[in-house]
Amino acid sequence: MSKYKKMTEEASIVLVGSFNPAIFHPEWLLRHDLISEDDIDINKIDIVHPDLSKFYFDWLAIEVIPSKFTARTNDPSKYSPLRDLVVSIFNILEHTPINQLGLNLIMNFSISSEDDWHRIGDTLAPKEIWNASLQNILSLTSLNHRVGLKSLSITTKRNDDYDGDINISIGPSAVEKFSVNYSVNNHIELKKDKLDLSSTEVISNLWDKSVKMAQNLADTTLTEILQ
Amino acid sequence: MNTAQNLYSPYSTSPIPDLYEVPERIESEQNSDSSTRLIVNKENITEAIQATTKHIPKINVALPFSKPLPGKFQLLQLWEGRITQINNEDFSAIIVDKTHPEFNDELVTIDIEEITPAELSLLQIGAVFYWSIGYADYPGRGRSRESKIRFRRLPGWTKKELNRAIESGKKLAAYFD
Repeated sequence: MSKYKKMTEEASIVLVGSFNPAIFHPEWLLRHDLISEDDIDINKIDIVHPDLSKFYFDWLAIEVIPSKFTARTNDPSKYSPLRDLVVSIFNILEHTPINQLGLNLIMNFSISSEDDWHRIGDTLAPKEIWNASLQNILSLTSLNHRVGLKSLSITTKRNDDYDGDINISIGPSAVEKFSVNYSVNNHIELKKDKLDLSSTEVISNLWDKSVKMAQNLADTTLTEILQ
Repeated sequence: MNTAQNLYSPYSTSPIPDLYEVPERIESEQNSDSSTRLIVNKENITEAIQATTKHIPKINVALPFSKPLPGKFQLLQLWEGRITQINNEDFSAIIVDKTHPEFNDELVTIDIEEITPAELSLLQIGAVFYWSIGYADYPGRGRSRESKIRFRRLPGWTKKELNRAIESGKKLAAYFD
């Protein structure tokens, strides 16, 4: 039996460039036939303003500020529609300057026992050096002062034709007592890639692979530690 | 990690690292008739904006937290389908198993009633749809097992894509000549 179980998953596409947040409105998406009437029935607009646009559908959240566009969903059956929507939006707004893009997956895993949960933190960030430092400086000796991993970030350069990094963060999750949050940011520098592709072409090419890679990374890390 | 999704941490007292800068005002030049104009034209717009905003005091504004979306959908099975035939009450499609890519494609017949009325206009030969089955857990609804069909919505080809296809076609034609 597996010692961890996925509880939630959220995928997002983040674009960094120069945006006009006021454009991004559910009615604009509907007028361009990018969403259905069903989507518009369950929408909640927090704000649509020249500096910030933020609204939700049943399956999707969109947040735009002048320098950043974010679209995300927590429904794995909508990962392809999320990609289609972002690609369609920026095919329509084809002259929007976009410099960087991130294809992200955030996962929360429930860990079967407290010992296994501690094992993840202790394996990724051995505590000897921290125990020694804290004991010396703060005179902490009892178990009540246990040292714990809060967050760990790892980065590596991409090994494909795109310029950018793969960034991974892991730490305790707030979803459940003994749970772990695992985030993968698939970051691409658009102006520096060797292929001269638009942001929408890169998203179309990499989205499915990116989601699969993030899921495999999380599985490999947790299996490696908990086996 | 400029393009990473910000994590929701409502109880954190740490300063939020991802701040964005809002110009307090945009500087402009005074014309002889007392009107003002920005020193910007189409050719040098980026440089001009950078130059005019270089010394403007900025206000740092914390990005709003990205709240988690309510509920969750536990995906059990996902297919991507392409419609091959439409009849009065049903349609045929070739479906690709996205959950188990090692499985062969299948030809299926699906009742038109399975499609939400808002998407009936997209029912055409060649249309692509996503068919998912899973457990939906949403606040106030409890758990339900759902089968959902959602059609792909893409606008027409862009000029760049058409040009790329034409170029690619020309290269192939030259190769076979």
